[in-house]
Amino acid sequence: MPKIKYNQAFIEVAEDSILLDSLLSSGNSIPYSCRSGTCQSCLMKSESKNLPTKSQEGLHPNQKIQGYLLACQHQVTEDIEVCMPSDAGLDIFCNIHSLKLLNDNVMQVTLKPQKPLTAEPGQYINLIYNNSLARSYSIASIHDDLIELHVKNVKNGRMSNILFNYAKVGHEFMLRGPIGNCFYSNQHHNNTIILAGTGTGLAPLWGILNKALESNHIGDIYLFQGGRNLNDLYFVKELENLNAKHNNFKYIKCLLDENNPLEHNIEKTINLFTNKSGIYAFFCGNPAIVSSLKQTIFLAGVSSSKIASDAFIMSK
Amino acid sequence: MSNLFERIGGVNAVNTAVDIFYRKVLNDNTINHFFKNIDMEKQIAKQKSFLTYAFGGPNNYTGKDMREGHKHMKLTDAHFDSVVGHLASTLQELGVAANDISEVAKIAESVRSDVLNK
Repeated sequence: MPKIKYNQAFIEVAEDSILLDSLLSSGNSIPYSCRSGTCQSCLMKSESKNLPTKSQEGLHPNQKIQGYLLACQHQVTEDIEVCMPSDAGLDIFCNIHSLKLLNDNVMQVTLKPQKPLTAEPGQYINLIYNNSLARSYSIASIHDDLIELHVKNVKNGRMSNILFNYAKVGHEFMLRGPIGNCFYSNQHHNNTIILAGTGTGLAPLWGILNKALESNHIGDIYLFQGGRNLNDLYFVKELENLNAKHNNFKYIKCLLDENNPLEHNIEKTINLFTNKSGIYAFFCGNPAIVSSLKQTIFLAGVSSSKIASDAFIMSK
Repeated sequence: MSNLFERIGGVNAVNTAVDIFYRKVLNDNTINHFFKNIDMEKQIAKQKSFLTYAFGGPNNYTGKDMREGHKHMKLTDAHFDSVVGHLASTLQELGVAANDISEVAKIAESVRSDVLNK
Protein backbone atom coordinates (compact mmCIF):
# COMPACT_ATOMS: atom_id res chain seq x y z
CA MET A 1 0.00 0.00 0.00
CA PRO A 2 1.39 3.45 -0.89
CA LYS A 3 2.16 5.97 1.84
CA ILE A 4 1.50 9.71 2.04
CA LYS A 5 3.91 11.80 4.08
CA TYR A 6 2.31 15.01 5.35
CA ASN A 7 3.12 17.14 8.36
CA GLN A 8 5.76 14.70 9.63
CA ALA A 9 3.30 11.81 9.67
CA PHE A 10 2.88 8.81 7.37
CA ILE A 11 -0.55 7.76 6.19
CA GLU A 12 -0.94 4.38 4.56
CA VAL A 13 -3.70 4.35 1.93
CA ALA A 14 -5.30 1.95 -0.51
CA GLU A 15 -3.87 2.18 -4.00
CA ASP A 16 -5.62 4.78 -6.23
CA SER A 17 -7.05 6.65 -3.24
CA ILE A 18 -7.66 10.32 -3.82
CA LEU A 19 -5.03 12.37 -2.00
CA LEU A 20 -7.50 14.96 -0.68
CA ASP A 21 -9.90 12.32 0.68
CA SER A 22 -7.08 10.41 2.37
CA LEU A 23 -5.72 13.52 4.06
CA LEU A 24 -9.17 14.65 5.22
CA SER A 25 -10.24 11.23 6.51
CA SER A 26 -7.04 10.92 8.53
CA GLY A 27 -7.99 14.08 10.39
CA ASN A 28 -5.99 16.73 8.52
CA SER A 29 -7.47 20.09 7.77
CA ILE A 30 -6.98 20.85 4.08
CA PRO A 31 -8.72 23.71 2.25
CA TYR A 32 -10.83 22.55 -0.70
CA SER A 33 -13.98 23.60 -2.48
CA CYS A 34 -15.11 22.31 -5.90
CA ARG A 35 -13.53 18.83 -5.81
CA SER A 36 -13.45 18.85 -9.58
CA GLY A 37 -9.99 20.22 -10.33
CA THR A 38 -11.22 23.70 -11.19
CA CYS A 39 -11.06 26.05 -8.21
CA GLN A 40 -7.49 25.09 -7.23
CA SER A 41 -8.15 25.69 -3.54
CA CYS A 42 -6.76 22.22 -2.67
CA LEU A 43 -3.40 23.12 -4.20
CA MET A 44 -0.48 21.29 -2.56
CA LYS A 45 3.19 20.90 -3.30
CA SER A 46 5.23 17.72 -3.65
CA GLU A 47 8.84 16.92 -4.41
CA SER A 48 7.84 14.25 -6.94
CA LYS A 49 9.14 14.84 -10.43
CA ASN A 50 6.71 12.66 -12.36
CA LEU A 51 3.22 13.73 -11.40
CA PRO A 52 0.30 12.47 -13.51
CA THR A 53 -1.05 15.05 -16.00
CA LYS A 54 -4.46 14.94 -14.34
CA SER A 55 -3.05 16.02 -10.96
CA GLN A 56 -1.68 19.24 -12.49
CA GLU A 57 -4.29 20.09 -15.12
CA GLY A 58 -4.95 23.82 -15.35
CA LEU A 59 -1.92 24.84 -13.27
CA HIS A 60 0.57 27.42 -14.48
CA PRO A 61 3.61 25.85 -16.22
CA ASN A 62 5.85 27.28 -13.47
CA GLN A 63 3.74 25.59 -10.82
CA LYS A 64 3.89 22.31 -12.72
CA ILE A 65 7.68 22.37 -12.78
CA GLN A 66 7.77 23.11 -9.06
CA GLY A 67 5.67 20.04 -8.22
CA TYR A 68 2.38 21.71 -7.35
CA LEU A 69 -0.67 19.48 -7.67
CA LEU A 70 -4.41 19.48 -6.99
CA ALA A 71 -5.13 17.13 -4.09
CA CYS A 72 -8.69 16.41 -5.27
CA GLN A 73 -7.37 15.15 -8.61
CA HIS A 74 -4.34 13.17 -7.46
CA GLN A 75 -4.66 9.38 -7.26
CA VAL A 76 -2.08 7.90 -4.93
CA THR A 77 -0.33 5.10 -6.80
CA GLU A 78 3.07 5.39 -5.13
CA ASP A 79 4.61 7.00 -2.03
CA ILE A 80 4.31 10.78 -2.04
CA GLU A 81 5.33 13.59 0.30
CA VAL A 82 3.21 16.74 0.19
CA CYS A 83 3.07 20.09 1.97
CA MET A 84 0.74 23.07 1.96
CA PRO A 85 1.51 25.96 -0.43
CA SER A 86 1.66 28.24 2.64
CA ASP A 87 4.71 26.26 3.74
CA ALA A 88 6.13 26.97 0.29
CA GLY A 89 5.48 30.72 0.64
CA LEU A 90 2.68 31.00 -1.88
CA ASP A 91 -0.05 32.45 0.33
CA ILE A 92 -0.43 36.09 1.30
CA PHE A 93 -2.07 37.23 4.51
CA CYS A 94 -4.65 39.99 4.11
CA ASN A 95 -7.01 42.00 6.28
CA ILE A 96 -10.58 43.04 5.67
CA HIS A 97 -10.56 46.72 4.73
CA SER A 98 -14.30 47.25 4.23
CA LEU A 99 -17.62 45.40 4.06
CA LYS A 100 -20.65 46.83 2.29
CA LEU A 101 -23.94 45.29 1.14
CA LEU A 102 -24.57 45.89 -2.58
CA ASN A 103 -28.06 44.34 -2.53
CA ASP A 104 -29.99 41.88 -0.37
CA ASN A 105 -27.56 39.06 -0.94
CA VAL A 106 -24.31 40.45 -2.33
CA MET A 107 -21.56 41.86 -0.12
CA GLN A 108 -18.70 43.96 -1.40
CA VAL A 109 -15.59 42.88 0.47
CA THR A 110 -12.34 44.76 0.07
CA LEU A 111 -9.12 43.22 1.30
CA LYS A 112 -5.73 44.70 1.98
CA PRO A 113 -2.97 42.16 1.32
CA GLN A 114 0.04 42.37 3.67
CA LYS A 115 2.31 41.94 0.62
CA PRO A 116 1.55 43.36 -2.84
CA LEU A 117 -0.42 40.97 -5.04
CA THR A 118 0.04 41.12 -8.81
CA ALA A 119 -3.28 40.30 -10.43
CA GLU A 120 -5.65 41.42 -13.18
CA PRO A 121 -9.28 42.31 -12.45
CA GLY A 122 -11.36 39.37 -13.71
CA GLN A 123 -8.96 36.72 -12.44
CA TYR A 124 -9.89 34.97 -9.22
CA ILE A 125 -8.25 34.26 -5.90
CA ASN A 126 -8.87 31.66 -3.23
CA LEU A 127 -9.82 33.18 0.07
CA ILE A 128 -8.77 30.96 2.95
CA TYR A 129 -10.13 31.20 6.47
CA ASN A 130 -8.50 29.60 9.46
CA ASN A 131 -6.20 27.54 7.23
CA SER A 132 -9.03 25.15 6.41
CA LEU A 133 -11.95 26.77 4.62
CA ALA A 134 -11.37 27.99 1.05
CA ARG A 135 -13.62 29.59 -1.54
CA SER A 136 -12.87 31.17 -4.90
CA TYR A 137 -13.86 34.78 -5.60
CA SER A 138 -13.29 36.91 -8.68
CA ILE A 139 -11.42 40.19 -8.45
CA ALA A 140 -13.82 43.05 -9.27
CA SER A 141 -11.10 45.66 -8.92
CA ILE A 142 -7.57 46.11 -7.67
CA HIS A 143 -6.63 49.68 -6.78
CA ASP A 144 -4.16 51.14 -4.30
CA ASP A 145 -3.34 47.62 -3.12
CA LEU A 146 -6.98 46.98 -2.26
CA ILE A 147 -8.73 43.98 -3.73
CA GLU A 148 -12.47 44.13 -4.23
CA LEU A 149 -14.61 40.97 -4.22
CA HIS A 150 -18.38 40.48 -4.53
CA VAL A 151 -19.59 37.74 -2.23
CA LYS A 152 -22.98 36.12 -2.68
CA ASN A 153 -24.81 35.03 0.46
CA VAL A 154 -25.12 31.31 -0.26
CA LYS A 155 -27.71 29.35 1.71
CA ASN A 156 -25.75 27.22 4.21
CA GLY A 157 -22.57 28.60 2.65
CA ARG A 158 -19.81 28.41 5.24
CA MET A 159 -17.59 31.20 3.94
CA SER A 160 -20.45 33.56 3.08
CA ASN A 161 -21.91 32.98 6.54
CA ILE A 162 -18.60 34.09 8.06
CA LEU A 163 -18.33 37.13 5.80
CA PHE A 164 -21.97 38.21 6.19
CA ASN A 165 -22.39 37.56 9.90
CA TYR A 166 -19.08 37.52 11.70
CA ALA A 167 -16.34 39.23 9.73
CA LYS A 168 -15.23 42.68 10.88
CA VAL A 169 -12.87 45.25 9.43
CA GLY A 170 -9.31 44.20 10.29
CA HIS A 171 -9.97 40.44 10.46
CA GLU A 172 -7.22 38.34 8.92
CA PHE A 173 -7.68 35.90 6.06
CA MET A 174 -5.27 34.32 3.61
CA LEU A 175 -5.17 34.83 -0.15
CA ARG A 176 -3.87 32.48 -2.80
CA GLY A 177 -3.69 33.21 -6.49
CA PRO A 178 -4.43 34.85 -8.85
CA ILE A 179 -5.80 32.20 -11.20
CA GLY A 180 -7.62 32.32 -14.52
CA ASN A 181 -7.47 33.86 -17.97
CA CYS A 182 -10.66 35.91 -17.84
CA PHE A 183 -9.17 39.41 -18.03
CA TYR A 184 -8.71 42.37 -20.36
CA SER A 185 -5.53 42.60 -22.38
CA ASN A 186 -4.33 45.34 -24.72
CA GLN A 187 -4.58 42.96 -27.65
CA HIS A 188 -8.37 43.43 -27.34
CA HIS A 189 -8.03 47.19 -27.82
CA ASN A 190 -9.89 47.56 -31.13
CA ASN A 191 -12.22 44.61 -30.74
CA THR A 192 -15.88 44.44 -29.89
CA ILE A 193 -16.22 43.03 -26.40
CA ILE A 194 -19.28 41.16 -25.18
CA LEU A 195 -19.56 40.69 -21.41
CA ALA A 196 -22.39 38.67 -19.94
CA GLY A 197 -23.26 37.02 -16.67
CA THR A 198 -25.68 36.51 -13.82
CA GLY A 199 -25.39 37.13 -10.09
CA THR A 200 -21.89 37.84 -8.83
CA GLY A 201 -20.66 36.83 -12.29
CA LEU A 202 -20.77 40.62 -12.57
CA ALA A 203 -17.63 40.90 -10.39
CA PRO A 204 -15.09 39.76 -13.02
CA LEU A 205 -17.10 41.48 -15.78
CA TRP A 206 -17.04 44.73 -13.80
CA GLY A 207 -13.28 44.31 -13.49
CA ILE A 208 -12.80 43.68 -17.20
CA LEU A 209 -15.11 46.56 -18.13
CA ASN A 210 -13.36 49.12 -15.97
CA LYS A 211 -9.93 47.96 -17.05
CA ALA A 212 -11.02 48.33 -20.70
CA LEU A 213 -12.46 51.82 -20.14
CA GLU A 214 -9.38 52.93 -18.17
CA SER A 215 -7.23 51.64 -21.05
CA ASN A 216 -9.22 53.88 -23.46
CA HIS A 217 -10.62 50.88 -25.27
CA ILE A 218 -11.47 51.74 -28.90
CA GLY A 219 -14.00 49.04 -29.86
CA ASP A 220 -17.57 48.76 -28.61
CA ILE A 221 -18.30 47.08 -25.29
CA TYR A 222 -21.63 45.46 -24.41
CA LEU A 223 -22.43 44.27 -20.92
CA PHE A 224 -25.44 42.00 -20.39
CA GLN A 225 -26.45 41.63 -16.77
CA GLY A 226 -29.03 38.91 -16.20
CA GLY A 227 -31.26 38.25 -13.22
CA ARG A 228 -34.74 36.92 -12.52
CA ASN A 229 -35.86 40.31 -11.21
CA LEU A 230 -34.44 43.73 -10.42
CA ASN A 231 -33.54 42.63 -6.88
CA ASP A 232 -31.11 40.11 -8.37
CA LEU A 233 -29.10 42.90 -9.96
CA TYR A 234 -26.61 45.26 -8.37
CA PHE A 235 -24.35 48.12 -9.51
CA VAL A 236 -27.23 49.15 -11.81
CA LYS A 237 -26.75 52.89 -11.15
CA GLU A 238 -22.99 52.62 -11.60
CA LEU A 239 -23.41 50.75 -14.90
CA GLU A 240 -26.02 53.23 -16.14
CA ASN A 241 -23.63 56.07 -15.34
CA LEU A 242 -20.84 54.44 -17.30
CA ASN A 243 -23.30 53.85 -20.15
CA ALA A 244 -24.10 57.57 -20.19
CA LYS A 245 -20.46 58.60 -19.95
CA HIS A 246 -18.89 56.35 -22.61
CA ASN A 247 -20.11 56.34 -26.20
CA ASN A 248 -18.65 52.93 -26.87
CA PHE A 249 -20.21 51.23 -23.84
CA LYS A 250 -23.72 49.83 -23.78
CA TYR A 251 -25.29 48.31 -20.65
CA ILE A 252 -28.16 45.90 -21.17
CA LYS A 253 -30.23 44.78 -18.19
CA CYS A 254 -31.94 41.45 -18.85
CA LEU A 255 -34.78 40.19 -16.70
CA LEU A 256 -34.71 36.52 -17.46
CA ASP A 257 -37.39 33.87 -17.76
CA GLU A 258 -37.97 30.85 -19.99
CA ASN A 259 -39.04 33.04 -22.90
CA ASN A 260 -36.23 35.51 -22.45
CA PRO A 261 -32.96 33.74 -21.70
CA LEU A 262 -29.69 35.66 -21.78
CA GLU A 263 -28.80 33.79 -25.00
CA HIS A 264 -31.58 35.54 -26.96
CA ASN A 265 -30.42 38.99 -25.88
CA ILE A 266 -26.87 38.27 -26.93
CA GLU A 267 -27.82 36.63 -30.23
CA LYS A 268 -29.82 39.72 -31.16
CA THR A 269 -26.75 41.91 -30.65
CA ILE A 270 -24.31 39.50 -32.30
CA ASN A 271 -26.46 39.23 -35.39
CA LEU A 272 -26.04 42.97 -35.99
CA PHE A 273 -22.43 42.25 -36.90
CA THR A 274 -21.68 40.99 -40.39
CA ASN A 275 -18.08 40.24 -39.47
CA LYS A 276 -17.87 38.33 -36.22
CA SER A 277 -14.15 37.67 -36.31
CA GLY A 278 -13.40 40.78 -34.24
CA ILE A 279 -15.59 39.86 -31.29
CA TYR A 280 -14.20 38.81 -27.91
CA ALA A 281 -16.60 37.38 -25.34
CA PHE A 282 -16.36 36.95 -21.58
CA PHE A 283 -19.01 34.95 -19.69
CA CYS A 284 -19.10 34.52 -15.92
CA GLY A 285 -21.37 33.13 -13.22
CA ASN A 286 -23.85 30.25 -13.20
CA PRO A 287 -22.10 27.27 -14.89
CA ALA A 288 -25.11 26.09 -16.92
CA ILE A 289 -25.72 29.60 -18.28
CA VAL A 290 -22.01 30.15 -18.99
CA SER A 291 -21.77 26.86 -20.87
CA SER A 292 -24.86 27.61 -22.93
CA LEU A 293 -23.73 31.18 -23.70
CA LYS A 294 -20.40 29.87 -24.94
CA GLN A 295 -22.09 27.48 -27.32
CA THR A 296 -24.56 30.10 -28.51
CA ILE A 297 -21.93 32.66 -29.34
CA PHE A 298 -19.64 30.06 -30.91
CA LEU A 299 -22.45 28.86 -33.19
CA ALA A 300 -23.21 32.49 -34.04
CA GLY A 301 -19.71 32.66 -35.52
CA VAL A 302 -17.37 33.89 -32.79
CA SER A 303 -14.01 32.11 -32.78
CA SER A 304 -13.53 29.58 -29.96
CA SER A 305 -10.16 31.15 -29.18
CA LYS A 306 -11.89 34.47 -28.43
CA ILE A 307 -14.33 33.16 -25.84
CA ALA A 308 -13.14 33.34 -22.22
CA SER A 309 -15.24 32.25 -19.30
CA ASP A 310 -15.35 31.67 -15.60
CA ALA A 311 -18.05 29.30 -14.42
CA PHE A 312 -18.71 29.64 -10.69
CA ILE A 313 -18.72 26.04 -9.52
CA MET A 314 -20.35 25.51 -6.14
CA SER A 315 -18.29 23.87 -3.43
CA LYS A 316 -18.91 20.20 -2.64
CA MET B 1 7.42 16.11 -51.54
CA SER B 2 6.04 17.54 -48.28
CA ASN B 3 3.98 15.33 -46.03
CA LEU B 4 0.22 15.44 -45.58
CA PHE B 5 0.28 17.57 -42.40
CA GLU B 6 2.43 20.24 -44.06
CA ARG B 7 0.36 20.23 -47.26
CA ILE B 8 -2.85 20.86 -45.33
CA GLY B 9 -1.24 23.73 -43.44
CA GLY B 10 0.00 22.31 -40.15
CA VAL B 11 -0.98 23.74 -36.78
CA ASN B 12 -2.63 26.81 -38.32
CA ALA B 13 -4.92 24.60 -40.39
CA VAL B 14 -5.88 22.65 -37.25
CA ASN B 15 -6.76 25.89 -35.44
CA THR B 16 -8.88 27.12 -38.35
CA ALA B 17 -10.49 23.78 -39.06
CA VAL B 18 -11.47 23.03 -35.48
CA ASP B 19 -14.07 25.83 -35.26
CA ILE B 20 -15.64 25.01 -38.63
CA PHE B 21 -15.66 21.30 -37.86
CA TYR B 22 -17.06 21.65 -34.34
CA ARG B 23 -19.81 24.05 -35.55
CA LYS B 24 -20.89 21.44 -38.09
CA VAL B 25 -20.98 18.78 -35.39
CA LEU B 26 -23.02 20.99 -33.01
CA ASN B 27 -25.49 21.83 -35.78
CA ASP B 28 -26.05 18.17 -36.68
CA ASN B 29 -29.20 16.98 -34.87
CA THR B 30 -28.26 13.33 -35.28
CA ILE B 31 -25.16 13.72 -33.07
CA ASN B 32 -25.26 17.04 -31.21
CA HIS B 33 -27.01 15.58 -28.16
CA PHE B 34 -23.71 13.84 -27.31
CA PHE B 35 -22.15 17.28 -26.83
CA LYS B 36 -24.95 18.92 -24.90
CA ASN B 37 -23.42 19.22 -21.44
CA ILE B 38 -19.82 19.06 -22.52
CA ASP B 39 -17.37 21.80 -21.63
CA MET B 40 -16.55 23.55 -24.89
CA GLU B 41 -12.94 24.39 -24.04
CA LYS B 42 -12.03 20.82 -23.15
CA GLN B 43 -13.90 19.51 -26.18
CA ILE B 44 -12.15 21.91 -28.56
CA ALA B 45 -8.79 20.82 -27.11
CA LYS B 46 -9.70 17.18 -27.76
CA GLN B 47 -10.91 17.96 -31.28
CA LYS B 48 -7.62 19.72 -32.01
CA SER B 49 -5.64 16.72 -30.93
CA PHE B 50 -7.88 14.47 -33.06
CA LEU B 51 -7.58 16.75 -36.11
CA THR B 52 -3.80 16.86 -35.71
CA TYR B 53 -3.80 13.08 -35.76
CA ALA B 54 -6.19 12.87 -38.73
CA PHE B 55 -4.12 15.40 -40.68
CA GLY B 56 -1.09 13.13 -40.28
CA GLY B 57 0.63 15.36 -37.72
CA PRO B 58 2.45 14.62 -34.47
CA ASN B 59 -0.08 13.21 -32.05
CA ASN B 60 -0.71 12.16 -28.48
CA TYR B 61 -3.78 10.19 -29.41
CA THR B 62 -3.86 6.54 -28.45
CA GLY B 63 -6.38 3.82 -29.24
CA LYS B 64 -6.88 3.37 -25.50
CA ASP B 65 -7.97 7.03 -25.06
CA MET B 66 -10.36 6.63 -27.97
CA ARG B 67 -11.85 3.46 -26.54
CA GLU B 68 -12.15 4.78 -22.97
CA GLY B 69 -13.54 8.15 -24.04
CA HIS B 70 -16.35 6.74 -26.16
CA LYS B 71 -17.13 3.56 -24.23
CA HIS B 72 -20.43 4.58 -22.62
CA MET B 73 -21.87 6.46 -25.56
CA LYS B 74 -23.47 3.58 -27.50
CA LEU B 75 -22.26 4.97 -30.81
CA THR B 76 -23.17 3.43 -34.16
CA ASP B 77 -21.54 3.39 -37.59
CA ALA B 78 -23.99 6.10 -38.66
CA HIS B 79 -22.74 8.44 -35.91
CA PHE B 80 -19.15 7.79 -36.91
CA ASP B 81 -19.94 8.35 -40.61
CA SER B 82 -21.54 11.72 -39.80
CA VAL B 83 -18.43 12.95 -38.01
CA VAL B 84 -16.12 11.80 -40.81
CA GLY B 85 -18.47 13.50 -43.28
CA HIS B 86 -18.21 16.81 -41.37
CA LEU B 87 -14.44 16.45 -41.35
CA ALA B 88 -14.35 16.00 -45.14
CA SER B 89 -16.67 18.92 -45.82
CA THR B 90 -14.63 21.13 -43.46
CA LEU B 91 -11.53 20.39 -45.50
CA GLN B 92 -13.41 21.04 -48.75
CA GLU B 93 -14.40 24.46 -47.42
CA LEU B 94 -10.76 25.15 -46.63
CA GLY B 95 -9.77 24.26 -50.18
CA VAL B 96 -7.77 21.14 -49.36
CA ALA B 97 -7.04 18.94 -52.41
CA ALA B 98 -9.34 15.96 -52.98
CA ASN B 99 -6.62 13.33 -52.69
CA ASP B 100 -5.43 14.84 -49.39
CA ILE B 101 -9.00 14.76 -48.07
CA SER B 102 -9.27 11.08 -48.87
CA GLU B 103 -5.97 10.46 -47.10
CA VAL B 104 -7.36 12.23 -43.99
CA ALA B 105 -10.56 10.18 -44.25
CA LYS B 106 -8.45 7.02 -44.34
CA ILE B 107 -6.63 8.00 -41.11
CA ALA B 108 -9.93 8.90 -39.45
CA GLU B 109 -11.31 5.54 -40.59
CA SER B 110 -8.51 3.77 -38.71
CA VAL B 111 -10.02 4.76 -35.32
CA ARG B 112 -13.53 3.49 -36.15
CA SER B 113 -13.21 0.20 -34.27
CA ASP B 114 -11.79 1.96 -31.18
CA VAL B 115 -14.51 4.63 -31.14
CA LEU B 116 -17.28 2.08 -31.64
CA ASN B 117 -15.71 -0.39 -29.21
CA LYS B 118 -15.66 -3.21 -31.73
